[in-house]
Amino acid sequence: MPHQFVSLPILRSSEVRNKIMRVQFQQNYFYELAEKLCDSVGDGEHLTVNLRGEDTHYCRLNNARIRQTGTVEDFDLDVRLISDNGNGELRQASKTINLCLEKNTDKENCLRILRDLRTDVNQLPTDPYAIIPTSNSKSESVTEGNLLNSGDVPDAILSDTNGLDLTGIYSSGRLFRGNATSTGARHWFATDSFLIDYSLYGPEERAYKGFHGGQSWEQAKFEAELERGREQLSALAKPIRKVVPGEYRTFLAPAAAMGFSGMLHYIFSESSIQQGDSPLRLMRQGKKKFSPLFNFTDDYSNGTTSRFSPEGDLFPEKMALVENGELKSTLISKRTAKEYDLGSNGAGPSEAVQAPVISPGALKAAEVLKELGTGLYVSNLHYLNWSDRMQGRVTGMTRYACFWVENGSLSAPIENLRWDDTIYRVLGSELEALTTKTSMFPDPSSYGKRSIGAVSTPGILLKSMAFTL
Amino acid sequence: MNLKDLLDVVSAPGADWVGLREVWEHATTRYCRDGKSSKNSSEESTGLMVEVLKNGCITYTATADRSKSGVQQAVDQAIDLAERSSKYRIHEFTVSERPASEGKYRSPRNVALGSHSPKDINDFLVNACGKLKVSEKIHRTTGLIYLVESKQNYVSTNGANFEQDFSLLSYGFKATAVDGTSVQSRSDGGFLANSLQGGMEIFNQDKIENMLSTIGEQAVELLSAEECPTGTMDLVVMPDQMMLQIHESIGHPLEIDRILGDERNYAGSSFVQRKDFGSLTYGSPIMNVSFDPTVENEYASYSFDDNGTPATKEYLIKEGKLLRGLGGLESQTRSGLKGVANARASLWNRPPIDRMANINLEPGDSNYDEIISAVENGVLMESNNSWSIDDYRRKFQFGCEYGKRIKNGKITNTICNPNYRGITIPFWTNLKMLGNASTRKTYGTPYCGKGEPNQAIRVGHASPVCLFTNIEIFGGSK
Repeated sequence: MPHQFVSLPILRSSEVRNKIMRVQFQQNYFYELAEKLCDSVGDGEHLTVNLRGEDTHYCRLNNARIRQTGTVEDFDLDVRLISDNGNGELRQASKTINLCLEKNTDKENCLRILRDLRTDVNQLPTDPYAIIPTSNSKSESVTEGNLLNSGDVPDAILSDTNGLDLTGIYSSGRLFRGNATSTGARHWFATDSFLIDYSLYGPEERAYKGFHGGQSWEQAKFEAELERGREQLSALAKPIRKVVPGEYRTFLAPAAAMGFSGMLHYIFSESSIQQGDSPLRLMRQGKKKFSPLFNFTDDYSNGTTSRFSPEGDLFPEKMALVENGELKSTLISKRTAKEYDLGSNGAGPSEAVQAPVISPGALKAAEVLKELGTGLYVSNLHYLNWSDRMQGRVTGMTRYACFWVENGSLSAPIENLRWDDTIYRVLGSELEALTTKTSMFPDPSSYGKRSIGAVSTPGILLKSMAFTL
Repeated sequence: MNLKDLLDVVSAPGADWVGLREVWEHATTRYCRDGKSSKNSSEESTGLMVEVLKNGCITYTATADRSKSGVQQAVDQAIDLAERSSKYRIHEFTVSERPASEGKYRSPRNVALGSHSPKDINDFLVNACGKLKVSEKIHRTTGLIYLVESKQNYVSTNGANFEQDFSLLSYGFKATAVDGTSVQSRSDGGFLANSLQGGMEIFNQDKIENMLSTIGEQAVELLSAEECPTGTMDLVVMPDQMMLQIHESIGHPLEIDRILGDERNYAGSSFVQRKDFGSLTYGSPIMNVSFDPTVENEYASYSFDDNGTPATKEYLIKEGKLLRGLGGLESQTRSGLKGVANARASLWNRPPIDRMANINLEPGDSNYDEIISAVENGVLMESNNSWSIDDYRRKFQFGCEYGKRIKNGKITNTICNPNYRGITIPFWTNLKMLGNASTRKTYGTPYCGKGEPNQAIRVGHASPVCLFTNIEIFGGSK
């Protein structure tokens, strides 16, 4: 039967906003739940408690119209119980629940999962590499911005599109990370942020890719970005040049370099190298190295991501991973250190690069085309994957505004090409120069929840890159 | 308060329709490496996707607050957003895109997922690592099981009221062999390819134990295997790689939201255009591909999609001709194309979009031996380990764990690092032979990524063994 609406008092938008304001107070809420859990640990028990949360307005766009829009309020609390039987034998298990933000219910749920974890842990075999948290460090980072109200978003992003075929996603709101341990560590990270990750499509499906993000919305800046995109689209209007497979001098613009450098984020894991799962094994064995011009750092100093591990430790603010082309350091977590009898260098359990920065070089932006001479200007890359992981070979596609360059001038846009080349050639033997200017790209990923963090990279000029299809 | 009662007390002034989709999901991961327990974790998530239709605009609020006031606030917020967004709406949606379906779905299961204790599962995984280690050259062994219980209730103001109760199980075992600088890995079909609906009876311990030593032996065998040859030749693709081939070069390009341009900023568009439905020759005339969410035990079976559309089997491609796209009711009304019941969301916190569910290649009439006998010069490949395709789903490159050389109708030696690349339509046009039902296997994955905001969703794929001719084949870097 069709539903009949009943008549109840209407909540006004100010009351709706109160709900959004509510999450401003989540630091205390999180710490209260964490205290409740940590107060409940028994002899030989240790806890880590980690929070990930978002309060986000998403607005999905296609053809400068709204395809889907809505808000998501979602907070996950992960509780890990490490149990020590007194003989040095450790067992551990973890459970994540989402919070409903009603205090009594959330507290009851926290205690319920602690009971579940105890039941689970008691049945598990020992985990010889489990880590007991030791940290009692504390940190707090809260960045308040000036974000658009949800209701103002449609006009702000679509009123000035004037015939542009804009497609993409606007996401905005506050992101949260929290940590507490039974040893007294307490960390809180909250940041307001917005990102409009978009494409402008012109005739014949040629497109320009743009990112516009930050902590405070500035309408004029966004309109200027759109105008720049409009100009770029006109450069794509020329007839396509078909490029046959082969090796070409290539310039990877910063967004393309960002895409390529994404393949590096997990290979510095010491555990992965030890287990024969990382192409850096060749570098470790002294068989390969990168260009002396290439420097790669895990650098938290720009504050775009939280700096604490799930175990409550603070990551080093900067860790050089590649220095002048040589492997300077891998990421060694406490667990890996215990397993392979190494010293941990403060990396988190994932051993992933979380704040990647590629250092700039000496190539001025104005000289990029001249130095490229004749070859390919690649603005973006797409769908990268290892094609021979252990040899460091990667395949992917070119995407968006990519051009054939002839004698230092943009000649014609190209049809997208498949490429297949190794990290040791692209960042090693074929790397000719890096630009003086770096660009910072906020992480646009939102699987499960919206991501934090950013990648910072210059453009990269290559003597050659292998294009295959 | 149950969901229907909650809906009954919600006030939605001016709204044409309200829907509530409640999801409770509990996922458990147990993982052992090198015979040691490494991960025992679970995730439990409960929440509500509140959708509102007003001024032709469907907006949403995702909240974990199930209280009456929480849901009322969510509805108010969605109405407010619809009022402010409707002048830019992409289409004037109506309640027709939210059918008033009623009913129940329950995954088949004989043995409950929770029936095996954490100890029993860990003991099995630990022992499995031992069985994978058939040689000192085996450097790393892993065993993983991933169990998901998911329950969904859906009610709406136009009378929809259905429940779905899923029981899902994935497992995977892998051995990595090392000899000097040479490293090779072998698994049971690629990462978590063994993903099915059902209970613990799917985790057939005897069957798994019997294959573990083969996985280990093949990893060692690959260390000294000949490199995959380079050239244009015949390609026999086993079902665990066909899964990926179907997924990337049929499933994604047929998604109507890609064809309408919704995905152009992320996963990409499609070479398929609206005018192609009913006329495009997608591939060989022996090719029949179905969207089938009704297959018992396949990973993405269900009775209703997340907009409430009843799910039925439909042919996407018949005798090589493209007939139908993968689009739910919103995409169908926007495009004017025939679609399927595939508007799906990854959890309560994401809105439904066009997804694949189960996409299956129907079997042909050749047995395995007949297929091998038909190859004069070729390669057999199984178990995916590398995949990449362009944003229009034309140019792909895939790599596999394990290969066999075929010469003069006979399998000769094992080869390592087998890869192939091609372009979608010519590739499927070169489908020469299809295995019969005895060669068909069913796989799935929990992790098909798409959408803005991003969503990883479960899909299933069944395929027989296939023979393709004139394919560009190559090996690894040395």
